Amino acid sequence: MACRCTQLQDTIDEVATQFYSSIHYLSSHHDFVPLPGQEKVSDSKVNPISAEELQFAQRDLAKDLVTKFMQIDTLINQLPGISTAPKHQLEKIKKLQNSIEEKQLERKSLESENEDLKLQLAKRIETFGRLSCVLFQP
Amino acid sequence: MLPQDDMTDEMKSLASRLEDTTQAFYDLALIVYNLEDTTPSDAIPESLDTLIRDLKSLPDISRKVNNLIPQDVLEYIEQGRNPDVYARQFSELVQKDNQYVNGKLYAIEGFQKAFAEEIKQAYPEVSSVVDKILNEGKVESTVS
Repeated sequence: MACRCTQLQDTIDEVATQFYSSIHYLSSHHDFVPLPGQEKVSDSKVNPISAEELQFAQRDLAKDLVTKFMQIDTLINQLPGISTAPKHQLEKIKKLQNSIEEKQLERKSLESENEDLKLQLAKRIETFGRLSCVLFQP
Repeated sequence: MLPQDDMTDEMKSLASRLEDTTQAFYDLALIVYNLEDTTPSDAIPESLDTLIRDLKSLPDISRKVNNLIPQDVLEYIEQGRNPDVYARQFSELVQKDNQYVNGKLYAIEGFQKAFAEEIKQAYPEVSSVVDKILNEGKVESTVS
């Protein structure tokens, strides 16, 4: 699954495609409409759909577009920080920076403690070694 | 051909001279066809003089006429066809294209209305904006 921004961009592209497809379909499937006093003409190269089908297509295409709009709204609502003001974002960044500094200090102290424990361990291993020599001498 | 009422004096003069030129061509052909020993010896030279005089005067008259004629009409005449037939076919073609574009307008207008209704259902808070846009469209249609 792509990230929210990519999904949003893809959905907007789909809306543009749907607009183009809708206009193209309606522009190539309509029938001749005579003006007052004229007789209706026809052409073998034009294959129109009936008035009912055209009306259904218009409504169907409109519904699809609105559905896509709603999808975009949903994606926008899920974007992080969409309702956060820049001021609040800066405050959040400061907090995170302070937290980073605290964690760094904690890391340093823990590293020092780690060194101390290593030294203690080395001493005990050395002591154990000497005791082993004494105890297990034949 | 153009109705007489639409022709200016220059056009009438040009048309008259064109007819004279055509008649001169015809007269010359008739004399040559009916050539006999009894034909006067100066008949052909006189016909040629008349023809040349008519042809020579055509450019002067045509310079005063500014009407443009479509290339299709000229090609039609060169093929020996009646330009009135061209005019009738052209008017039929215009009527057909006009109806086709009219149908296209109705289809797009219908889509606009359906789209507006769907948007109003999904987003009631922007109904007033949608109505405003539709009214602007109507005003534009009225103006054009």
